Amino acid sequence: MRILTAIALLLFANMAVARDLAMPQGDVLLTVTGAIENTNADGAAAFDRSMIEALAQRDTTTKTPWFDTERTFSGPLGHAILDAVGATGKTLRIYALNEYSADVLTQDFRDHAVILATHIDGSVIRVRDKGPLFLIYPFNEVPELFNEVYFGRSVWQIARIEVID
Amino acid sequence: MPARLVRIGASDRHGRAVGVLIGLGLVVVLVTTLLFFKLQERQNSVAESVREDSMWAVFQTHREAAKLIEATYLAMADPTPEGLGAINSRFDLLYSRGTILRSGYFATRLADTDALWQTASATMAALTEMAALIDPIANDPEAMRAALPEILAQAQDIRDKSNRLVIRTNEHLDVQRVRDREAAIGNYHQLAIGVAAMTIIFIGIVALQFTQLTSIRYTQRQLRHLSIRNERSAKNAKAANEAKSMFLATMSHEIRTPLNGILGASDLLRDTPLSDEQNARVSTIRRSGHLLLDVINDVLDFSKLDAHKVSYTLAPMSLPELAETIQTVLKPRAQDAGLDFRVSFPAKTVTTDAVRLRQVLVNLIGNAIKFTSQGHISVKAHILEDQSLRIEVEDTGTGISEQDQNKLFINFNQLDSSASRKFAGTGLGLAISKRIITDLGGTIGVDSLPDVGSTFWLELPVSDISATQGVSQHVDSKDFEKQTHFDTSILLVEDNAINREVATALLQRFGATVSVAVNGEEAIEKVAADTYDLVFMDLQMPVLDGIAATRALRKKGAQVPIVALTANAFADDQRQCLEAGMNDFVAKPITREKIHSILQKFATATSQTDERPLLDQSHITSLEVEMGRDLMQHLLDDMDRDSHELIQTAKASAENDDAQAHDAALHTLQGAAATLGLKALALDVKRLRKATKNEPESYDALRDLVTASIAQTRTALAIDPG
Repeated sequence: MRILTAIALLLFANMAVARDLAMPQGDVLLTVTGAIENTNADGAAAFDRSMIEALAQRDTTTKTPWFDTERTFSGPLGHAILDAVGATGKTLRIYALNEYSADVLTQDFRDHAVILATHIDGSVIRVRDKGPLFLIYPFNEVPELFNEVYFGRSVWQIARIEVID
Repeated sequence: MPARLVRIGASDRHGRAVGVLIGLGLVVVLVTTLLFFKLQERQNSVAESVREDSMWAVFQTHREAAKLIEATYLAMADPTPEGLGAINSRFDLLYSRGTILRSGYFATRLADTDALWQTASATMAALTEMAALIDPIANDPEAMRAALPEILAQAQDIRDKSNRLVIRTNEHLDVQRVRDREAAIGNYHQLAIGVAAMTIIFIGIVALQFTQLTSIRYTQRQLRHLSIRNERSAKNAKAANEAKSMFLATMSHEIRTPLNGILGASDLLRDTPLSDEQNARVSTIRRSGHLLLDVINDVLDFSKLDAHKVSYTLAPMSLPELAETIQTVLKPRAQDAGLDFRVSFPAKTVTTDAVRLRQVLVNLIGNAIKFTSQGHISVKAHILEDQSLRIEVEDTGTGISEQDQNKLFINFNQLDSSASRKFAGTGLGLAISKRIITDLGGTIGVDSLPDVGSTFWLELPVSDISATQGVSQHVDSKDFEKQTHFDTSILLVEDNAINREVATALLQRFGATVSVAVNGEEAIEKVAADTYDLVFMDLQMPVLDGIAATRALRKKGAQVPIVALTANAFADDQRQCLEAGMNDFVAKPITREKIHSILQKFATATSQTDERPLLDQSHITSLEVEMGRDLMQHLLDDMDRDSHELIQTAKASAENDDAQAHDAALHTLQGAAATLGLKALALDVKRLRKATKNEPESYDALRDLVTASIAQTRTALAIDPG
């Protein structure tokens, strides 16, 4: 009886976590839609800055084609976001503020320490500086990634992610 | 020859050319590789894509400017806070596009193009200006609304500027693309040139290798021909040399055979009663014969040594025995020349080639005798500290000037023509000696002062030096007593009738019974049928030669001593004889002395007297030379008569106790006996003079001794008794 109760409690707890994504309090920075399990709006998971900063973070110092020198980018790990929304798709269609979009394999987020940078050299990235979210591959750590394909996937001014099966 | 040299030169040049080509080829390969890498690098470079990126960025800027204008129009039509906010957002996006013009690869890549850079800067300046307009009023809708016309104007200005930037960038990229294509084409051309050069070089190398191969093949063919020619000429030379050797051997044999007859016959002639004049003539014949023999021996020996056909046999050799041999062979000659002859060898046994060493010594001593008119010859041997044997032959002869000493030991060289005339010889002796000593690993030389004398010396490495049994052989004045009668049965095997006759007569002179056989086969039959004490065996005979006959006899178990009679006086031939089972050998021509020494060695002797030597043979020989045979005969007759009277007187004096008369008679007798070389008699008389008691029977013994001694002397001198 106690075992059944424990299993039931566990299941309930799981479902509660799955369904209960906190509601954003501030301006929404990022909206994830599509094949996701956890939502906090109508079929979407919306994140404000504090929610994003609550996810697992990483600092990536690397050269990029967009800056003259190496810079240190920091922000949530890509797979932390996927985990938070319970993404099940294989492809992520990432939209920028200017309606630019690029398809990135979900696997990229699993294989590499990809981050959606919110800060550059410790400062918040403004929209004018390609913020608020800038997808950064660890180019220095994995030099093979330093080519046009990944430059194209390195979407900046990210506003929305659609998870596609 | 010049043709071949040219060929070799050509081959050299080929080698150098190939080297140069290979070097060039390597350089070209290097350059091409570099070019290739350069191309690849160009391909891999992100410059191209950054350029595309910059075009994209510029275009985006233009597009965002258009969108900002659109948002501004919308806000002017409907100035809600949302519409005004959209202007802010649009401007942020436009601004973010614009910043890329100032940073990253765009800036670095386009910085070199002034016009483009000016346009980009102008665009940026406009953006900054607009930011300065918008930023203070972003959160003030009223101000924003009031500024809308100004915002629109600035946005339109930015759009125009970015439009120009698009066009400029496009132009720039077109130029850049053409430039890149030209550079790439240039690289491809360089690559093509490199490849072409490599191809040419490769073809050159192949061609050169081909010609070199041809040249090598030609040279090889030449070499093959040359080696064939060489082989042929070597064969011819060898054949010629063999023919020469053959000729010399034949000549040797052909000359020796008649010489044998001449020397043997003259020996026999000497044993017959001759007048002084005839005696002198016979002596001349013998001397000439021996000289001729020496010449033949020298020439043959030298030719054999020269052809390296001589092998050496190292065996233990007793120095005293060598001394004895030298004494036997050379002392008579020294004495004949009126020279004192001394040999002093240590009692040691050393290992060397005895036959060859003896030959050298005989040569050196023979020379010394030849070139010394008075004084002495002294032969001394001793062992040096470094285990080598040094032998010195010292003479008191004419001596040799330092200048001439260098010319000695050279083939066919005699010091001067007058000497050549005076002393017969080929001048090969010293050359042969030097050859032999050198072959044995030793050195030979001479120290000499003109008119004082010369010392020829040799030093030979000898191993296994040990002391000889017995005392040191100081054979200064030792004499070798000769037996003169041998009651022995001898088989003489000789195909040449003259030689057979001479040898038979010589053997018979020594009292031997002689049977003859004309070839080996007959010899085998005779040995089977009869018993002989000794066999003299010629080597070259028809039907069956001496070596084969000896082998056959030994195979049958015949024990009889066999002595070879050989015209070939070389050590190798002699070794062959001994290997076939012979006991000794005699080099032709055979002489009385040679036969005598062989008989002494092998034949059963029946000396009429006791073992004691009766005579001083060499003394008698020199007397004979000095006084002539007639005088000797006369003296012997006197001695025969007087000695009996003296013995009678002595005997009578002894009986009368007249010691003085006794000693006087014996003194006279002793002196006469010593003078005539009747050694045993002289010794006995001397002993009798010292005797303390009377010995009547001694006088009878003395009488017998006198008779025997005189008889033997007459036999030795070949004088008819009485």
